[in-house]
Amino acid sequence: MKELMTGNEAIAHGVRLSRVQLVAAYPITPQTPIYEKLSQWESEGKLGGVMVRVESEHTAMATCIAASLTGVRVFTASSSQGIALMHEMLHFASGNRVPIVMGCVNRALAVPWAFGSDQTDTLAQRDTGWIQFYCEDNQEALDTVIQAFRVSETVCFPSMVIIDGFYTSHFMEPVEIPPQEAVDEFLPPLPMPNRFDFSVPAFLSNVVGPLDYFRFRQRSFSDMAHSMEVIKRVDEEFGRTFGRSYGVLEGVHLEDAEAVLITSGAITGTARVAVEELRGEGFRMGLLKIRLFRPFPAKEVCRLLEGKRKVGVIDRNISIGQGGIFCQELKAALYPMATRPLVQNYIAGLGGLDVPVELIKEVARDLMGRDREEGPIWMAEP
Amino acid sequence: MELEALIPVSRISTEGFRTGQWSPRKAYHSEKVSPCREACPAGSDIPEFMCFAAEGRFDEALKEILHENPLPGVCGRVCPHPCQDHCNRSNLEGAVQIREVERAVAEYGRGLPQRGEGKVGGRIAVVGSGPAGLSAAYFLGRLGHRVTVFERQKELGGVLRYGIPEYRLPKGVLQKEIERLKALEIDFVTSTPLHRETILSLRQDFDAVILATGAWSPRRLGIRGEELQGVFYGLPWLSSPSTATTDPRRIVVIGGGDVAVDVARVSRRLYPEARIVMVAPEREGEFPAIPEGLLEAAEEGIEIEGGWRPLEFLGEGGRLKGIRFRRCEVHRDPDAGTYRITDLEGERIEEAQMVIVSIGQVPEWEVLPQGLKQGHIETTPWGETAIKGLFLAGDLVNRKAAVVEAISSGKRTALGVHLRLLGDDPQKVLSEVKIGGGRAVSFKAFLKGTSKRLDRIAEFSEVSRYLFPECPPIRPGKLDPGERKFSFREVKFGLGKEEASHEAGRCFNCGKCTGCDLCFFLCPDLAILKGDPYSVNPDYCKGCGICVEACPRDVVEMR
Amino acid sequence: MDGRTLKQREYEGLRPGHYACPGCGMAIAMRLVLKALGSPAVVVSIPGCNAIIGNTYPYSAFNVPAFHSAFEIAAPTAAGIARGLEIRGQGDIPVVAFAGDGGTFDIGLQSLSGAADRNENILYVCLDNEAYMNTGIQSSSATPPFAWTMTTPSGRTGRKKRIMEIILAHRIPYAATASIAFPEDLMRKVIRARNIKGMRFIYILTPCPTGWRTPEDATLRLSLLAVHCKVLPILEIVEGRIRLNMMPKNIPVSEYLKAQGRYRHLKEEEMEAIQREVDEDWNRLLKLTEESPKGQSLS
Repeated sequence: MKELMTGNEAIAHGVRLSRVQLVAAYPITPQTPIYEKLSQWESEGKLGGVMVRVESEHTAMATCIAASLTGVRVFTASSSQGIALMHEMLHFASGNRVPIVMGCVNRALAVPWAFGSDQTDTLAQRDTGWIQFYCEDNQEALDTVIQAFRVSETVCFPSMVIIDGFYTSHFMEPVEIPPQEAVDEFLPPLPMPNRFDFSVPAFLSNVVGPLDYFRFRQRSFSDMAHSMEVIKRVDEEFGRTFGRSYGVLEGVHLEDAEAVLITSGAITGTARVAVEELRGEGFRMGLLKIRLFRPFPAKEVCRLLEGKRKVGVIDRNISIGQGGIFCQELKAALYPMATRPLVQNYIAGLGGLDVPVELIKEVARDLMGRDREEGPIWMAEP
Repeated sequence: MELEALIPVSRISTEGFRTGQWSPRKAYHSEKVSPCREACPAGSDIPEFMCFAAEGRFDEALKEILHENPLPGVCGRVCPHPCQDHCNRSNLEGAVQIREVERAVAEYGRGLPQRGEGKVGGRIAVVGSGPAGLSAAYFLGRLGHRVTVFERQKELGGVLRYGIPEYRLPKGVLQKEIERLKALEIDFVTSTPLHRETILSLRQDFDAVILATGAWSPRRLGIRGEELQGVFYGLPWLSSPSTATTDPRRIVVIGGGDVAVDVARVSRRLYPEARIVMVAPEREGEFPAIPEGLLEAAEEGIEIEGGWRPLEFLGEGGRLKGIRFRRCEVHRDPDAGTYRITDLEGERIEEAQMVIVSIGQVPEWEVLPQGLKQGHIETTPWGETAIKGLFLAGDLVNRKAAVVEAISSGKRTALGVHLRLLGDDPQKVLSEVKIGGGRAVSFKAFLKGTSKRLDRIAEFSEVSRYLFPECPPIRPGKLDPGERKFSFREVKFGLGKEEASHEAGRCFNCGKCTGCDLCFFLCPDLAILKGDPYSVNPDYCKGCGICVEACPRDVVEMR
Repeated sequence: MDGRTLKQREYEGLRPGHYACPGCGMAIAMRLVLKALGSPAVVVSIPGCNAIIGNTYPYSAFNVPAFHSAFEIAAPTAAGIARGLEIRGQGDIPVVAFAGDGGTFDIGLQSLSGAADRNENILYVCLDNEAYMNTGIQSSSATPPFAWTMTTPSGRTGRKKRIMEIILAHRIPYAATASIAFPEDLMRKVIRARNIKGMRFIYILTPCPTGWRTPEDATLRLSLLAVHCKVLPILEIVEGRIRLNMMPKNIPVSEYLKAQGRYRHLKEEEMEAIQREVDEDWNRLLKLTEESPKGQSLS
């Protein structure tokens, strides 16, 4: 049964269905409806978990980490300034190998102040050791929350389930709510043990020497690399159980594409339309959606772009001093290829600026007419 | 996924780190002597018995006192308490009323001393049943000797019975104290005066003879009129107060010592209407008597005048009529032991029908064997004389003339006799059980050995000022002066059981580990090990010294 | 009582062999708190001397499970663990957060306030050595006026925050101050706190020989003087009502200050200013106090 709901509500349903036991959160636009929906269900006795209304995002993450160590299932959500404020705690969570799932609603980071969608807030946390899923639409958001808990609790890394602020979070779409029993079977209620062992007490996460630090980081790196397989398996199993799967990447019309647009998040939905239109106009355009950003699917990307001549990466984000972040990561992933495509970076949609079909078609036309790479091209409006 | 390996999980205990190696300084628990004990001529282990008394365990407290002092009921009433004058608690809000607690322990404690099984089992004669004689007999009995005490009076006690009045030391109390001694199978032979030759001949039937006959001969003034009727002398008069003078209007007591005070106060009770005045050459406030005695005397309406000495007794028809006094002042040098009276300008005549001269006592030299140098007898610290087999104890050898000094002397003499009979060297052995810098020796240490450092005195711990809440001493009540004039009832009330326990609880127990656990709880490194005795674990003691600071009893020290 | 007998408790929550400086007041405080808290329990430790005492991987000085959290989040970390245990049906296992003055008065104040507001079920113990000692003696808002530190070499110009008033303003069920000089009282308060649900806050002044420039054995004397000079009132706040546990002996604060090297440079007028402030704060406290001891008893 499908229901009309916003992306925020979809995430909230995912949290409820996952039988989350503790939510510690702090309000920030455009995340607040998630917080409010969960609070409303808590007061109606429908949530099953307990809401902890904390006094800052940093504390929210701190509380989640601590609770997660006892083995209970926890969730939080934030955006922009809140995610930035949590930065210390994001490293802390990953280092503690706790399976927290956080709903991130992309929003521009100040300064300047703006409230629309911009991926820089979550991408700026790419070094913190979190798994990052960039969701295209409301259904994917709900489904990814459930998948994320399963993945995190298997590999012991926290995950971000990321949607665009306003475009996904506040826009209504029809969403299928999976049945609770099916979710229960897919995601067991309490798979994690209490890390506090009362029979043989231990001091957890205390100071280590340099060599031990090196080794723990090496272990984390290796574990994160192996989580790729787990992520794929879980998604496949989800597909078999619920009839929907998303993969870590999704290729559209790649077989005969001469030029490929690479997108993530809500822009992907618009790009699908643009690519169809361009193909109708006779252009051999392809589209590659990047869903999993961390761990970065380097091998998969190389395989899919094998033989492609031109690639245009649309980044709704910017790393000042370098360029668009998806583009950077992609270039690094493509580097080992014997023959590399031309990769051109397009910056669009920062601060929630609309990225309409026309703009994407302009990007595509520019890409196709291009024989040389240059620095990031800033596309404000069509 | 094996969770254990993902994050630092630290299980190994830090106990493997011997942080004691950080410093060569280590703390030690070393019990010592309390300053009150050092000051006590009998060497009573006050902190020990205070522990028991504080918990209401009076039987055990009594047993503890009896290790060093056989007459706690007596001392608990009449002792001038040098212990209290050295009490460390006086640095806080007031000395512990040790004497009152001792009295309570003697009152409420039950139990008898045990006669020892002596290897030697000598036969010892003690001449005199005053405090020194009783003390010597007691300790010899505890060591397993057969003791016979000869007493010339009908009753036992010496100065305790015949010198200290009922209102200060009730005869019933004295009797109870003496009864306790009978458990030691001592033979008491009363109404048997001995003198010179009979004393010496005792050495044929006994392995040693201890002379503890005291000082019963009163000093004379040597002034005109001393032979008049109505002139009496302190100690003899106290033994049997004469009421020969009917209704004296004015009574003068010459002297400023404790005997003089007692004489004045007994007179007050015999002659409630008379005007009684104590006159001494010292300034008021410098009388040698214990201040509390003078205070009680003043409460009973006895006048006190200082700075006069009698020149002559004036009579009429052979009876005393008055006394001529001369203004004077006294220069006393306690170290040199000198005492000099200087006359000043001014004379007066005081009317009096009765005068009692109490200016001190000396031994009755004519009763004692020749060969003992008159005036000042040479003895060893344990009373041995130049005459073989003859030992001395008590006022015979002491200048101080206090009951507790006599008890101390009796103890030392007993031990000296015992050691001589064993063939040991009293000098060496007694120096091992000497307490601090005083005269006292510890009988308990002699008998059972001790882990306490008898040569180290516990100092006041400064933090005690702040560690303990103020808790003023409980002073017992006294009989109302109005009533006292007409009765020989005991003037000072004793402490009740709870009061005594409470007062004993104020004792810091200097030098004794009471297991209060302050050092234990305050050690940052858990290096104090509880036990009997407490000790310090050198593996973890970093030598910080907090335990030394913390111990209010100066038991913990740093080396 | 005269400190003659303290109840004999065999259990120890802290192990010897830890790396605290000789004479460390904090080590004593941690030991007494953990001893009274018993087992099972969970300890939250944060950067500072308290974590160093806990020791580094793979060693632990704690006899109960512990977790090394971040500097500013002692309170919510403990809260998260407590809530997690509650959800798992182990809600009667006490969770204690140790934080220093930095983690309480400064960087941790926000999260402490939030936890207090939510009445989280934790015992929060502030171990105040009056500066950032672990990082080398830098001043905090708990450093008293005129005290020397490495970052206030001429003496601190700020005034010490009244943390107990801040806590009082949060309306939590139980708060108390305690001193290592009165271990029985301290442990009694921990035991009392352990049996209360909701936010509990215990403040302990922990002298630091290294940072206060005092001899190693001065820790006890300083703790006593702090109490009796009225610098550290010993009290409990139960459901918002202040109850003094003991009346100090009213010793001039100069006794306390003269004993510390960090006040060596103190001028006469500065000492007088400190005395005035101590007296004013004390009189303020008396006005707010609802119950005082009749006599003096701290046992």
